[in-house]
Amino acid sequence: MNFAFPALLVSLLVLPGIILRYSYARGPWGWASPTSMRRVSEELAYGVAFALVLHALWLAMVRRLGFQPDVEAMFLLLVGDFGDGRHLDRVVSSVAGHYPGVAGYLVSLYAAAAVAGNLGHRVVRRLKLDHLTKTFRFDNYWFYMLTGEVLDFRENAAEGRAVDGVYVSAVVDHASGSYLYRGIVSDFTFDRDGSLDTIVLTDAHRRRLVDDREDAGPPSHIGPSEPDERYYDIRGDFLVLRSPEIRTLNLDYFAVTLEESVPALTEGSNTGS
Amino acid sequence: MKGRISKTLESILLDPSARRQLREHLIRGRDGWVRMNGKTYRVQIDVTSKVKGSYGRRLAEAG
Repeated sequence: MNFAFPALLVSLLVLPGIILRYSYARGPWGWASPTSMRRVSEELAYGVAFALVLHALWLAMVRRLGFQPDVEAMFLLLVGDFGDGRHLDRVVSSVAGHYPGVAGYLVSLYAAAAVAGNLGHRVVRRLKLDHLTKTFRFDNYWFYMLTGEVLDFRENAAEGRAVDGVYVSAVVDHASGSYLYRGIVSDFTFDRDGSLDTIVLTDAHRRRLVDDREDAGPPSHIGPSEPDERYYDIRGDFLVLRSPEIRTLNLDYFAVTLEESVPALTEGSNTGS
Repeated sequence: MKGRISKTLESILLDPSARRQLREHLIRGRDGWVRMNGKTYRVQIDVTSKVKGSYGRRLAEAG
């Protein structure tokens, strides 16, 4: 037996743990939820640990169903030492004779791991366990930051204020100088490693960074106010900012609430719509 | 879309006049009001400042 077969067998046996971790970290398809992907070495370590638990559970279950998996033959295959051929016949007959059973065991375990991972993800998000404790928090700060869920974390002593939107200010360098891009976060994407890839803004506008000024500004009032001439619209429904091009990023969380009774207003109030 | 945009905010963004009003408040970083369809909406910015401290630091550390 060559070296490749035990390696292949180890991969097949560890795969359920990796599937469980992967499906838990990513959640269901189309689900607006944090994804957290660690380095391959880390994932492998988690995968081995989870695979051991899953195999223990699955072996117990198939035994309850009346099957008798030959665990000893599997260990002999893993070690690759058949005692001068004494155990080889037994191992070969065990695998060849129960091939459908072995395949069924592995495939069903892979499917169960995927379902369990997805369910775990859903349960954590539905019950907001990731807001309550760091133990269940997904390793993706950007998701929590860009959705405003960071305000709901227990350690941040959330004030019970709802966030209606997240206003982004990002500095991006161009050949002609640095620009301040601003807009409301509509969407964002991650790359294969789970790092922030793009931020999609709606109602985007920008100005040159050198146009900074100390602006006391007029007092707040109802209705249209004098527009800030330094900014100009960016035509289009959405603006996509690529993360590597963003130099600095500032986030403002804001709330919009219907006011039943409007307080006394400042001078220059304008109630036109 | 994963961004958090409430129904109220969505309706404001669909109204050009209301959107401009909201934008001016956001640019200045000040609370204010937006008038739309005969109703008045209060805009409150920077609902918390504590979060920025702890999380901003962690993001900066993460690069």
